Amino acid sequence: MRTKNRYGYLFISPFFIVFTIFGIYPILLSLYMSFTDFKGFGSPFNANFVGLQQYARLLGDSYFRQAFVNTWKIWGVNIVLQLSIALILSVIFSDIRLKLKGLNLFRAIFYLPNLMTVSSVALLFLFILDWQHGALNSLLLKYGLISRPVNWLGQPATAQLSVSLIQTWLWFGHTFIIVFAGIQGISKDYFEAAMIDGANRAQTFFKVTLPLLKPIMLYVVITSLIGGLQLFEIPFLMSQNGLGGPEGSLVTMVLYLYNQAFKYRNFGYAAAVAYGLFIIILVFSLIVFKGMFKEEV
Amino acid sequence: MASNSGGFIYKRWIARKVWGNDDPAFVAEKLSNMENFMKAAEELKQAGYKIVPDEGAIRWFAKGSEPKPWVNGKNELQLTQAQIDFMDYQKQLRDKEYSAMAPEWSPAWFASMGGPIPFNAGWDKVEEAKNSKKVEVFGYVMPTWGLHYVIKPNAKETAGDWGLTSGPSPYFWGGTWVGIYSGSQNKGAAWEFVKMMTHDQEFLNWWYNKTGDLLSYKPVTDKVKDTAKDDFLKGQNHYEFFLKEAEKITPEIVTKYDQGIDQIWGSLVSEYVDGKKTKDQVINEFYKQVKNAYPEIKTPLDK
Repeated sequence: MRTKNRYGYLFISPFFIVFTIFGIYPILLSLYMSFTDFKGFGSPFNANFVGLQQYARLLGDSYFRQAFVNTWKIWGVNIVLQLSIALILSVIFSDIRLKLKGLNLFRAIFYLPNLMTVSSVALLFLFILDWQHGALNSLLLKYGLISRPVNWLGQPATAQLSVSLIQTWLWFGHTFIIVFAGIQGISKDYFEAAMIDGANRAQTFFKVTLPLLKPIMLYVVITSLIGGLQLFEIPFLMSQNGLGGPEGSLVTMVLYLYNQAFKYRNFGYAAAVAYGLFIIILVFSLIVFKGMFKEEV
Repeated sequence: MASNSGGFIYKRWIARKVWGNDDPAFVAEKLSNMENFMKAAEELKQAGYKIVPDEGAIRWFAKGSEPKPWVNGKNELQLTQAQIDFMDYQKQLRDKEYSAMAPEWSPAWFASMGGPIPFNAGWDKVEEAKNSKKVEVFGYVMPTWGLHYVIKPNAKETAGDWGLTSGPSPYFWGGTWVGIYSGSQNKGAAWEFVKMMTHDQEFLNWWYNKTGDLLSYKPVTDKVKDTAKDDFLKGQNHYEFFLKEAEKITPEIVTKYDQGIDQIWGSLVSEYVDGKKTKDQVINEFYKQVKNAYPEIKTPLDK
């Protein structure tokens, strides 16, 4: 028995070794960095120890507050749309009265955007949304829907909305698969009982499907929140020089962190931003969790 | 090692069509200061051309006409009067439709080197929008590397009909400097490498023959500067030109903050050009953003 156990440890050790080197060590190192004024040259251990100074700066930083608001706006629009689309599609495809064919094909098509690399997606949309030469403006102008080209990425509101929609397009297929699986997991008996009792589609959806989907919805919202608050690639690639678009409207919290660290070389401060972000995500995940299970908890 | 001196790289056939003369000395006279530059822009506009691809193109002349570092020896941020004046020049380019609205490094910008591009700005009526209007860009404010590695590959069909001349002020854009890390374990090898890159005649001659690129070692440049010619520029001696411009520039103004501050300033000026911010708002926001990026720099807001 004992020998067996020892081999067991050997077999699970690769994960722990890798996790220690590439997970725990950087986490602890950046915690230390956040107490220094490290500038990215030499070793962080030679940098000056400044205590909580970086965190004090974070609390009074209006640019970080703007990044916080931007991130929430972009994520908020995205999650509402993404979840609605996924729910509607799931209900249509799982309707026992409709019995739609071709589920596998559609599931693959919906999921396709998620398989593309984000940089290609950003490039694609830069071409589509370009002010003077983009496909979208050309199309709208051609059909007379607008009289002047709209600078989609040049105004804060449309730039943020564009990013939200791109995120929705990227992720609705993923959410659809999870929600659809959730609906499949609900026993058919409930739907049949509802049908026999004369419930219409809306009643079935709101009284049967939705309540039983709650755990799945919670999973989708929390994972999306964790990912969404760390939004970086699309805003970075879609703003010139990665500066964060018109009037800083595409500066998300992680983009701000990135620029502080790798553009301006304030590694100490960027580490403090990272820990601030960690606490923000933790707090909001707990709020969502408690909020959705109000009755049960 | 070297700063990359720059010029104004233009399409000769447009100069011939608009002014009947494509000689670099003639075009230099046309662009000799910002007032003349704007006059030339108007003449080009009347003929259906745009003097520059985008407003930001002239930013290098702002730096060149009052060469001061962004940050001085006392770690104070310096915003020159020239930079402030050039905000208005940039706005004029936009308001009077002298630019082709093709932002630097955008797909349209690259395309504009090869031929006419669509220009949609100023469309007030739907009917007009239906006939897609195309414009052609006259020239580019670019340095040595811009000629060889940006314009040439994107203007293959018109090679041989381009010209190189000077703009309102001499400037440089980028450069390469090599140094040796004080803690290096291979200082000897590093020093050999530095020597090769800067003083090895055999290597530098090879490099020149392969690329035609501007070098900074006199024994080599002296040898080639009288005979150099670039077929892309209709046989013009680009070497002599860039070397002469290099003598006029002030490379000491380089600081480690340049890229970051240039970008902050550039994006704020375009907000002024777009009419989203007033001049004072731009300047105030500039001080705030620089302070946020580089807390160690003193700005006028600190006082």
